[in-house]
Amino acid sequence: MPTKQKDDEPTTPTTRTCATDRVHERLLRECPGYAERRALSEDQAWRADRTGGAAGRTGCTTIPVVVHVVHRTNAENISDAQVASQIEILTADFRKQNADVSTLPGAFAGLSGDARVTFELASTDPDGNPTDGITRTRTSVNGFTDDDAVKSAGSGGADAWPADQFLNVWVCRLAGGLLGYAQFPGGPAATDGVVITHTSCGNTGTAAPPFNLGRTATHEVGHWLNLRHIWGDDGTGCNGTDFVDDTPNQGGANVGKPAFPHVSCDNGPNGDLFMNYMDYVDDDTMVMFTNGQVTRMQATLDGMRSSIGTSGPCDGGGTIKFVDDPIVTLKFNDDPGSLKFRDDPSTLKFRDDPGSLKFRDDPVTLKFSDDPGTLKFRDDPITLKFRDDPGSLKFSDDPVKHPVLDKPPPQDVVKPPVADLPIPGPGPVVQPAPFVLSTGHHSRAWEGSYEGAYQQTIAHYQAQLQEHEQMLNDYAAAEQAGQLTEQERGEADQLYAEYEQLSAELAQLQEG
Amino acid sequence: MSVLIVATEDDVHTRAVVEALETRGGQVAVADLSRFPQQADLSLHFTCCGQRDLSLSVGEEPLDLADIGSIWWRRPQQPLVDPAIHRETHRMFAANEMQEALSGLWHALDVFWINDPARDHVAHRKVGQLRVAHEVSLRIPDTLITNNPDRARSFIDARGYTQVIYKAFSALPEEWRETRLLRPEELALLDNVRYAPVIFQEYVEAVYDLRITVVGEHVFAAAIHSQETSYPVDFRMDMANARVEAVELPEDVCDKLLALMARMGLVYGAIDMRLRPDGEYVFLEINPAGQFLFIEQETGQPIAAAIAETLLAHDREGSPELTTTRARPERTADDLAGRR
Ligand SMILES: [Ca+2]
Ligand SMILES: [Ca+2]
Ligand SMILES: [Zn+2]
Repeated sequence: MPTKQKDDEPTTPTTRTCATDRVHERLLRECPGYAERRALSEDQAWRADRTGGAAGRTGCTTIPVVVHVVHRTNAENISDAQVASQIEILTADFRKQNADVSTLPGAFAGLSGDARVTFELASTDPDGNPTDGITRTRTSVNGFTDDDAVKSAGSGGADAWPADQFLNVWVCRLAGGLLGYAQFPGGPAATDGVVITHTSCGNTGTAAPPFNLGRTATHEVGHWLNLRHIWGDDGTGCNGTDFVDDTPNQGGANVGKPAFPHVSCDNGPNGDLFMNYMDYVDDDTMVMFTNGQVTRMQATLDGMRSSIGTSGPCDGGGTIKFVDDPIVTLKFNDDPGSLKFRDDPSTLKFRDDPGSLKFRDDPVTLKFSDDPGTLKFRDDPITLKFRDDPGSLKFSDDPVKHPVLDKPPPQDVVKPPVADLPIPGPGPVVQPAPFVLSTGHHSRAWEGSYEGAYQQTIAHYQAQLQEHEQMLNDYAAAEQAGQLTEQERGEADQLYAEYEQLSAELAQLQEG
Repeated sequence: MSVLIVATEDDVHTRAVVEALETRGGQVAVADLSRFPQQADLSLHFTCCGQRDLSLSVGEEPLDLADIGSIWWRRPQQPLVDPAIHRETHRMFAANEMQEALSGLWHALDVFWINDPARDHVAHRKVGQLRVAHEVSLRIPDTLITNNPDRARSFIDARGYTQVIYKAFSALPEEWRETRLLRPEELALLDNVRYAPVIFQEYVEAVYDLRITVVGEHVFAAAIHSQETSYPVDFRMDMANARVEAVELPEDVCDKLLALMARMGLVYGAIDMRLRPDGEYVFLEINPAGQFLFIEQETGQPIAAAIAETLLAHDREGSPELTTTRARPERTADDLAGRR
């Protein structure tokens, strides 16, 4: 460690520090309405998770970015090239196009997901004028902190561009070894965005190891899209959660370059998912988001951040290339025998096994003239599974023909929350139910008229309660034996809540 | 000529009407659609040159549909997909093919209906009922159907929760919910309105509830003295202890109800209303396939007989297959209303 550092030398922390949680706590204390909007955001994420991540936005979302370079020294006034390298890295990481994703241990390879978000420097400023998406501000501040001073011209920084249209990224010198911080969705627009220290920006210029691969911004933008730290922000405890199911429960933050596996919180044999962008490891050690994190980010784009960016086909040209593994397996609920693509009259026929389709010549390229993320098949939901990507694509039904059900296609049913609706309350924490069903039985008036039905209902309640008790005992036994997973604990809690509700209803029914 | 009843065989309402038809010398067949396609045959044969052979075998005897003059569409069952078919898509396909063939058949028949299936389907929609009821000048309760908790709150705040009832469109056998007055502890759950719309309605004070069963031009009005039971809000809850008696409706209410029936294209309807202490009659809803025996047994009003007679009267007018030269009378509910 250098004993003394001159102000204009790059500060290069040795371990990652992110102040997002401090900012979060400050906003909870000081910002009216923030807590409510956070609750809403969690509610939306939770619902998205429950519906299997059926997103309103299909394909990829492109987010316009403005980078505010706030500098005191010439070194801090980083080059356009350094900014550009950061944007490229963000896009690669959020599209799972980073080459180092291949370093994932086999045990975790199945978890990594394509977040379907791309970034580009804004080409039009808030006034509608052309821009290169970079603002440059000279400051006399010798190192900013997490107090948001960098986000305002009045305190030596640069004002935010409208946060409902742009992702604001401030690049400045952060003091005290701080690498960056972000604001979760739901905070004030004037301070919305992420801040990174200039020595962690991109992979060229002043970028300094071990944070010279642009992952500080990846991590902070993860927060900006509502991701929490992977260890659950509970110190080294095992009770915190990042609200993502497919990230293993993890003790505390990992730093540096841990060796696989790093076991904590009974999460063996594979241990912590320390290679995740939301841990604290070095840039060259974090390589992935999980599918569950993707669902959470997409829920944010459907919800609190629905006004930002434009969505369209992934990969521009709409071409999916199967390079690594030429074998894809198509699973059909029924047996169509042949597969027709809407925009392409060519028909694929299945040779021998109607359940799976093998492309003999590799590499195979499927071309779709429309959005490849949502293929439309004439038939009901099909899942197309790619071997090298465990994420499965969900297909919507042809909205024109569905005579049996005659109801709106799924994309109409699952609408993203619209920004101009009044913000709904956070909803009940446990087991949301329609209003009518969530209001317990309160009358046994019909007992006199329908004695048999009354007895039957009581018996039905008692049987249900008994069943619940049995299951709760099983969970309790599993907990005693230390075999209860985080998910099972959640299920047990839910079950207990149901149990209480049923007991209350039964009591009401018996009291009359 | 024959009357066809589309219903389940063990339906007591069906038995009552079959009996009334047979007493009057009518020919009647009952088709239970849930027997399709395993235990019943359907063949619709159209030749190139106008010949038709539409047959339906529901018992031993195939039924010639050309011989059917009127049909009572009495809560038909869905065709049953053979459990031998396992794949969900195949099951859906089979169900759809049956549905298409059957609903095509119903549309291809030129017969008298109680009630026409398409009209029945539309008339079941509670929201549409309110609109039509209002248009024929019936008084309806102030009603809000919403999944917006804030809208629900302001509706309730404007009246006080003791004056608001809520109810559901549908009832699940497992989770049956009666119409209820709001209670304070339920106000805390209002956010759950978000998950599914709820019908909130101004509470209508009652002298008594009314069940008015309309068959063609016959209007059978019965008072259900729900206020004397243990659950005055919803008469269904304590029906065994509710006194039921025949009553007369004011002529203008009667006219409005017949206009409602005509507007909805219904020949049969079971209407729920409330008589308020101030003498106003308030329309709650209409059940196009509502039960009637619980009224008939208490009041002696001859509802089954009226259904049988209406079916027979139209059956005997003859089928166009046989009487193509004779102009066929317009036998719609609009017409019935118009002839009043
Ligand atoms: Ca987790
Ligand atoms: Ca933890
Ligand atoms: Zn962080």
